Amino acid sequence: MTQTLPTPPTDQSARSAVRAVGLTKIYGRGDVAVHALDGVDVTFASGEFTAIMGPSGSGKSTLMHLLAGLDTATAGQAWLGGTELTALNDDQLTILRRERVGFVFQSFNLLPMFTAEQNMALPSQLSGAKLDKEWTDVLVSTLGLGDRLTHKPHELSGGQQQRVAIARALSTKPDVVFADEPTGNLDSRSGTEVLSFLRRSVRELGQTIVMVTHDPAAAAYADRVVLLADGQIAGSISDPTPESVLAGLDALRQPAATVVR
Amino acid sequence: MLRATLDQMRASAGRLAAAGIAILLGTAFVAASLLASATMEQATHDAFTASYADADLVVTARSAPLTSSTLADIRAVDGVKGADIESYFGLEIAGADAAEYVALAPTPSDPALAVGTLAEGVEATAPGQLVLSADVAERLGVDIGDTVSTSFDVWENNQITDSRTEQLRVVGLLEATGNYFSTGSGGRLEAGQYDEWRIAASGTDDVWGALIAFEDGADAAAVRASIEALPSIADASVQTLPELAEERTAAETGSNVTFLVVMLAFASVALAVAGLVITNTFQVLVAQRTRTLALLRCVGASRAQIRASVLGEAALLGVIASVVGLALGTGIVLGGVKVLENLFPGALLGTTVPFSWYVPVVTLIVGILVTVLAALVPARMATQVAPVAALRPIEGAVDERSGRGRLVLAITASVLGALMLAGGVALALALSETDSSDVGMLGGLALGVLGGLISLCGLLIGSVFLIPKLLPVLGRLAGKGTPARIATANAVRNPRRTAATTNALVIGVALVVMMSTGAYSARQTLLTELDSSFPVDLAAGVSDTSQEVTQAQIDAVRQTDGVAAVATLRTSSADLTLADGYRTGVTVNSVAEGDPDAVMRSDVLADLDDDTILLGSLFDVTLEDGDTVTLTSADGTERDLTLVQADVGRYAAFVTPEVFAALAPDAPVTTIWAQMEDDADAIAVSDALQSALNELTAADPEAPVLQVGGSAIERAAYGQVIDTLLAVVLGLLGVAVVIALVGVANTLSLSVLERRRENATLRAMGLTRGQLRGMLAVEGVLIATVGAAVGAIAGLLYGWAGAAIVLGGLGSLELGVPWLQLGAVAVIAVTAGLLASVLPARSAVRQSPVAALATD
Repeated sequence: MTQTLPTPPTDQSARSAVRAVGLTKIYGRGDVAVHALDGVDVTFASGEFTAIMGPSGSGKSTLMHLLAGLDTATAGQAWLGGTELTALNDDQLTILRRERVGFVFQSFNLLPMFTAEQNMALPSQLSGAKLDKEWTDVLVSTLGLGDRLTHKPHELSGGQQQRVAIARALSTKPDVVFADEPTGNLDSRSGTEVLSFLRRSVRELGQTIVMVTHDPAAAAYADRVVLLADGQIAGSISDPTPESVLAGLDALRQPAATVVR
Repeated sequence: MLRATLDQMRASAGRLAAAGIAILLGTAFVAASLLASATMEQATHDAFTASYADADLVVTARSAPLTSSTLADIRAVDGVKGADIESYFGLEIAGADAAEYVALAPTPSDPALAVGTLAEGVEATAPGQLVLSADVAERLGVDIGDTVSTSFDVWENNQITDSRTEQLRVVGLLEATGNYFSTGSGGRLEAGQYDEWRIAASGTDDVWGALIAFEDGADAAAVRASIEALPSIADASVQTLPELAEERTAAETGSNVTFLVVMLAFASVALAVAGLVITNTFQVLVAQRTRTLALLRCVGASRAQIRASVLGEAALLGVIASVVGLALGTGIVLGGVKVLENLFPGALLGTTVPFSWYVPVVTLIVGILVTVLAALVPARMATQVAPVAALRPIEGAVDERSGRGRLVLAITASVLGALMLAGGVALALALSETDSSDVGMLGGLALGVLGGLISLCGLLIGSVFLIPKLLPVLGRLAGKGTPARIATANAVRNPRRTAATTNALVIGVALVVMMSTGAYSARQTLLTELDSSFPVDLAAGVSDTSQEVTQAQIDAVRQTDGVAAVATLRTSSADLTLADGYRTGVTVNSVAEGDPDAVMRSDVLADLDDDTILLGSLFDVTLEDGDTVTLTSADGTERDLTLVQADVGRYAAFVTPEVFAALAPDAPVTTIWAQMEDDADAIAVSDALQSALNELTAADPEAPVLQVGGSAIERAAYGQVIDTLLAVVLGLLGVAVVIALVGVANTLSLSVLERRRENATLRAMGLTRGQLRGMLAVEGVLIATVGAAVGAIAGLLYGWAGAAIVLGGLGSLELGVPWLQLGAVAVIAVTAGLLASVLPARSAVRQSPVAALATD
């Protein structure tokens, strides 16, 4: 079980895809205020597959929303490459998501009236950019979607739908792909398949993926696991295995947490 | 279960409210129609009742007048307090300010027989005294103590033998009733003088009615029996006031019933559209509640309970909407009566709105019934939700395919209806030139209306197939952008819902466009007819053809604002000898100055050359084109000409100026013809022309007085009548269109709710707020325009068919496209589609893209 300190967020901008500095999110006011995120400093390196883990209510979803520009922070900064997300307005954030961020959702979220191919083409169409045909072919063959392109979502299995969703997320070569419990609605075999694809897209296609999950087995596919507890970074595990992740999570539940910070 | 129903209603209050508006408008229409009709009937009833004061019995002579002794006989009956003749006659009375024709009655012998209440002064009890209604007195400019004069002709044996002028002193004023129908309430004369004048002015002593008042406490039945037994009134009918009023009102009510039927026909269109909107809303509500319904089934709710819950919800919605609709309809009628009262004081409308029990009852029953019936299909859908559905995640319900049977039915009905419609047109046109053109018109109309209804049903049934085919075509016009593409895809996603939404619009728009097209064609046809029979807009001519119009008069006509062109005519009398020797006098005309083509709306003069004569009709003589006729002028000059029959007037002929100069070189210029500018106001122009001519006549006593005529005013009047009728009809149908547009907004907001997660996904993937708004706007506009377009095309065809059937007999049938109304429909559809998307878009935009990540 190797636990390492996260490197301080200084000279990392060159290599970091996503970075949070003192990121804080408070819901509500006064007595009922809930500190969902409490001064989080974390960096996700480019070309890396990172998993965010933590118990329910630890703030992992909130962290992802803020890093992806889906929600606004109460304090602190979130950076996507050299761009400070926390300084952008809604339209700027929308354009940024469109051009530089990809999403994979737990419920796939394909548009039911469009075919797999049309769904994949949506992000580039939204930004009015031309679809990179070569890149799409690579994605289609890597994800094994060749004979499914003209199918509509309801004609595809869950695993196939999620593969289309991954292809969609990667189609614009985004700076980072955020995956929210991508295996949550899949059986274990499809889940394994999807996770392998995510890992391959990082290793072979050079993409950057940040995945939120509560499944240690899923997290084990990542290059690194960031642990979150009570809105704060609680540790980090490099080259995780299911066992090391479980142990890390167990450690979080100890009253006197021994997790190294 | 009731608690669950109410909770669900509360949760969907917004959507139900939107659906409720549809029913509300429909029921308001029904309530307003019923109340307006009842108000008119009440006004009629009141008016009759008012004419008979508080009489206990009214005697009405049937075949012979009452004799002079009748009144004495009646007065002698035990229990009769008083009896008066029921009579009034009109006199022109001149006061200080004005003169007016006033209906007068005799001073009653008993207060119970007084029509109208004395407000001031005393009754006219001596000859020379007059009581006037306060409003009449005000208009005449007289008050109590003033003297007025009146004059009337004396008739004897159907001849005027004398003329009398009399002075009367005003001694009392009656309360102004402002009641158009109530007779004899304009004023009263002393009974003896009244009788004398009445007999003098009418030349007869005949009386056709009498009013009778009973003694207090008299046995009404016994007194009535003794009166009925009188031999002098054996031939007359004896009725109590309520009996009589009912009889008279019934006679007058025929038109009220027609009014009610027409209004209710429009109301049922509105309700049918409302029903479609309700069905749609409830279907979506049920679809949205699938999980809740399944949960209810899981915990033991039976199918019957589920059905009862949905229908109960509909009934409750129906009750609430109908009550508000009733209030709205009542408000409209009350407001309308107030407005009419202010606009036309003392007009025929009643001032009281009678609230009969049946108005709320009928309105509520109709409103609730339509709502519940419309919810039947959704209720069945709800019962088919399996309990296990509660345990499954819901992924956007897949719309079930519509059946082949439906398609066959739709095509059959459309084709059959279209054939019947075509048959109706063919029948009417085929018979239009024959003697049985009325039969052709009515038969064609019956066949056409039936065919139209059947084909419309086919169209509505088939719209579920048609609309999804049309939407992508229209969608392509909306642009190539991704939001537009998604909007188009969204619009066809749910063919049934979209079809039901557009159907509501199709009905409304088809009727609106049909009426507009029909009116437009009627207008064109009538105007074309008018053009050929009265080709000149304005004509000013001398009445005696020996007089000549002055140059100043010609200039005045030419300089009148709105006059585009002027031509003048010379006229002379001449004798015409036909080929068979028949000789008659005719008026020969010829253009003196100006271009006749510029002032005539027909080319009747085009056939004229130096060898021809245009001849209008001659009484009882058949003319043959091509015959040679001889024209003999007053000085005996003869000329042989070829006859061409033309619509130039009776015993009137037209020749070229050359021919005319040879026959009557010194004939005067007698007529000025003028054509108006196309956009000029006919009435204003002819008024201006008339006053310009009047000024000239006043300045120059030598100038002849010109009579102004022409078809301009008639054309304007025709147009105005058609436009007014059309405006009323469109106003009534507009309610249905408004309801349908509420339906579009409703459908759109339901779609937004259903697609919460999808829209959030798009937002997460980079759809800006503006693009999301645009996407919904495109969807709204697409749905509204497709419905409007289908409705407009159907309406245009129905309108043409109807015009061909009804107007085919007029000969020069002109089918037109009412571009103005079509343009208005298009603008309204696009605007309404945009507006319909505003509120849904607002809630959709507020949604955070984070919702895309929510699992449920």
